[in-house]
Amino acid sequence: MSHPLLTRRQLLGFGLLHAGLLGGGATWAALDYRAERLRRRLPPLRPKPWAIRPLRDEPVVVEMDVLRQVLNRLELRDRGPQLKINHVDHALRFLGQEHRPKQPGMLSGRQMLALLTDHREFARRYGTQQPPLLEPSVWGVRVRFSSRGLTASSHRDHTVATLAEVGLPLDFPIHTSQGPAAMRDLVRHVLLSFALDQQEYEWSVLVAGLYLAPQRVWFNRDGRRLSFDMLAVRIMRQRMPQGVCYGNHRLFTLAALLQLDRRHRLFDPQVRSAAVRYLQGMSRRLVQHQHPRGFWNGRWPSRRPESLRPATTGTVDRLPDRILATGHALEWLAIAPEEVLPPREIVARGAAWLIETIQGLSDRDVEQWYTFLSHAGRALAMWRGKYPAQIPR
Amino acid sequence: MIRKSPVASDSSSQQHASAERAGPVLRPQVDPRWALSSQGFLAVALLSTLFVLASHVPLRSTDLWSHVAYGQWIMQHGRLPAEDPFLPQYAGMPVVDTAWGSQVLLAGAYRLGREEGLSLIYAATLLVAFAFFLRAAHLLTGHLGTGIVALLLAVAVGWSRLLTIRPENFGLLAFCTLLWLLARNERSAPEQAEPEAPAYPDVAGWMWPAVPGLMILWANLHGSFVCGLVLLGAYVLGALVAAWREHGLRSCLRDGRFHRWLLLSELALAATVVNPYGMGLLIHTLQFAGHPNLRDIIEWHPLTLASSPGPEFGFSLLVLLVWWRWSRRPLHPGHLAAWGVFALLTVFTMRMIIWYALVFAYVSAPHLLWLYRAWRKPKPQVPEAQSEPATAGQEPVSPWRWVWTLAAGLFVWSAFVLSPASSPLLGARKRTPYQIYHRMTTPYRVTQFLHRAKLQGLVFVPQHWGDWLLVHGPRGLRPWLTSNIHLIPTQLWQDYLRVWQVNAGWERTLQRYRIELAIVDKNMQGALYRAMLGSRSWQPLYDGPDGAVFRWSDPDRPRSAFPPEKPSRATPSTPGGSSSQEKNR
Repeated sequence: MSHPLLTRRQLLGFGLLHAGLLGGGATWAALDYRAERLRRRLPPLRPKPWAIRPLRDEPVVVEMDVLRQVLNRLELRDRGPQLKINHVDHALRFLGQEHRPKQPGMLSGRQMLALLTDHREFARRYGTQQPPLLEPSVWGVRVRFSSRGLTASSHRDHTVATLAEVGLPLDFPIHTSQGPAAMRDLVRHVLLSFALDQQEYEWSVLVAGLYLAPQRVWFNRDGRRLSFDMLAVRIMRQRMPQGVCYGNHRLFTLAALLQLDRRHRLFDPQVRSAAVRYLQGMSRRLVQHQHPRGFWNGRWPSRRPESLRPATTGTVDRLPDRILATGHALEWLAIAPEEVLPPREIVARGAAWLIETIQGLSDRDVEQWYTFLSHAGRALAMWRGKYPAQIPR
Repeated sequence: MIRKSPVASDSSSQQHASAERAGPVLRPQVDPRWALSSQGFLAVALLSTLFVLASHVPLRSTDLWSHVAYGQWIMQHGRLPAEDPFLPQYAGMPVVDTAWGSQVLLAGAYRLGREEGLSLIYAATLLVAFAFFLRAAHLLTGHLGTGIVALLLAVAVGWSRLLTIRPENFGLLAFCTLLWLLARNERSAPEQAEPEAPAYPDVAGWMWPAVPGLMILWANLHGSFVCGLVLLGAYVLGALVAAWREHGLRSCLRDGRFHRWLLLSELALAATVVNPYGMGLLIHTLQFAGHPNLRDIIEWHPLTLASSPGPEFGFSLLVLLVWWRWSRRPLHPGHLAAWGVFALLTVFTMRMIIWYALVFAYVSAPHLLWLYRAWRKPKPQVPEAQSEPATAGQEPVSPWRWVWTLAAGLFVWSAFVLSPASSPLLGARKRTPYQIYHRMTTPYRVTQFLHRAKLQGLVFVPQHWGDWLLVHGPRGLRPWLTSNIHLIPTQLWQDYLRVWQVNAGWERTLQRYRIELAIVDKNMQGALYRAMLGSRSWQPLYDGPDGAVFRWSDPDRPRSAFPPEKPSRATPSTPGGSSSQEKNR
């Protein structure tokens, strides 16, 4: 049995009906999809990042002359292809992009900035055989990081956080191995590739705070909604001293978020209270576990250092470990709200120990422990209400 | 049924005369449609047996329980969750609840009958689905015996997806209903007059409301509604091929049948948008298979002959080759397209085996009947309608057929008696937890220990136990993850696999989540169990046949001198005592 065929007119009508149906359906689907994509698009970023301010000027902690002496010791020597990107990262954060070295053979702020943001400078120093520091990614530009080697950033998103802390605007030009890009691409990668449970998150969260506030929410690559409340809870989740640098970067980031929250209301009230209580708890531990001479070590959350003489082995009580723990602690306290601070003598004692120790270090020690010392120097300056770059020398 | 009898009784003439004086005599008579053939009896027996077997399938500790929990949440709040309402570690992950209707049904069954309610709704769903399928194959071939064989084939090939109680069962019911509609449509087409060489069927009038109506229900029950769209798409393709054969390549697009099938499929597609997410459901469902976490789930892997449904798939190909080689019945282009598409989908993703099994059996049925008739050629042809039940007004039914009916009734009654559904009515002894729950996969004793020890907080669990503990664990215990794989943040899922496989840094990974309690499935996570036993940071609290419980302790502190608790040999009761373990978190 043969079925009759449609006439041309019927066929035209049917074609039009289908065009309408399919077109309508496709448009609806496209609009729905687009609406979802728009909902998950990154919110508007700040053209220029917020600055985290040192909150107090306390001469009792460090005198200005002494501070200058300390800072002058902590410039970064240009070691050519032996220079560690990790050191450049820390030095730029510590000294700022306008830094002009007092001594010959030291790196300027502009040189450091160029090395971190321009692949041509990077290739000139390390050669073209090294994998590039800046690589294009699906979401923007990523910074290669690794715990080994000279030519990679040492922690996830550390370099981007450094660039944010020195105030690079979103349109600041950068140059990857594949061509020109902008700071915006680095920030986009950090935000979109961010996973709440990633191993190192301290700097990523800082970048989010500096470029996103007062926006409170964004969506990552999984379509996951991320809020600053969730980030604060994440920071507080782990036990101390877990996390990079005995957990101190977690505290610095939380204190920075609290400072941003004071300005932009990033947190829900209960999260804000929990964050303050958490930092107060950490502050109490610092009080309880400070050595009478003023330093802490890698066990700062649970016990006081037993001996004045530093250990020669291990990873918690050697001299660099004490510098690390003490410098980082004073750094986050410098930006923390007043209600979480320990008594001033605790801070002053820690600062005094740092000053004495730094002044007694050899040039080799300074070079070897540069990253820890950069935090210590920065902390001392911040207790005078300024960043090192703002202190005339 | 009582009918007026036009025939007087054959008693004595006196009685006859008095009867005539009294008027016509009323005689009890059962409608002949109740008189079953031997094949009818077999069909009832098969369905009853499958119902009994299904009602005794134990409840597994799989996603069933999170579906029940979701259903309870929806019933309690009167809306659908936008994010997972139970696990804070999923916070921010968007939920498109493709199975919300099924979840409500499961939660309702659980509320009414607890575990037995879930068993019953599962068995009943499968029973109705199988009945629809059997009827579909029967309608397609006009031969009930072939329908029975087709059902057996479908169960034999797709059994591996039938043993778990999950929303997919409702999708299965919808799929079988769609097959029934399609078969009914083919049966009602005028081409049925030539059963050996049927032309491609047109779309009957009643299909226009029936198919979209079914798709609306399906889209609100389970994400497998896409399989229905694929099946309809295959029929559209088949209609195009039929038109091509009939009218040639240039005119095939002007074929009215093709247009009607296309329009019906489009209506079905449009019907799936009638759901709480609108078009979002369709987009989400189509994107679902691309979720990165699913790459680690075996059922989403491509089919291999060594894997569980591989041999069944191979068996189906053998059957197919047989009828392809010897059957002279013309190939139905829609059937061929459906078989091809579902076979391809199954090769890519082995979890599609159940849909493939149904399509394979449905498509094979007419050819198997052809082969059977060719083999039985000496016997006179049985008219198509003979297997249909006799209707009133036809010649008297053979008494033997009433025997089949009685036997079928006995079977139905026996099935009811043998199923746990009869317990409340007949006062049978309640099933023990080990009869209700799947013994090998349910951490029953572990759960009892958790209740005794009143353990709380975030706990590492095997993903396949997370759902169970969500409902049956003590209040305050939070499983690290459940089998809602698509809701698990990618990083969390990778970390979970690292711990499971005891890869470097597994202890640090747990610390990162501040997990200080761990439940280990000793059968499936032997390496992790041994690693925890050997670790200085993990102290065993419980060590039973089904699993072990560990607690993190500071490695600098001395370990407890007390040995871990061993399970008692007593027959277990419900975990956590009475039904109070039910949680509404």
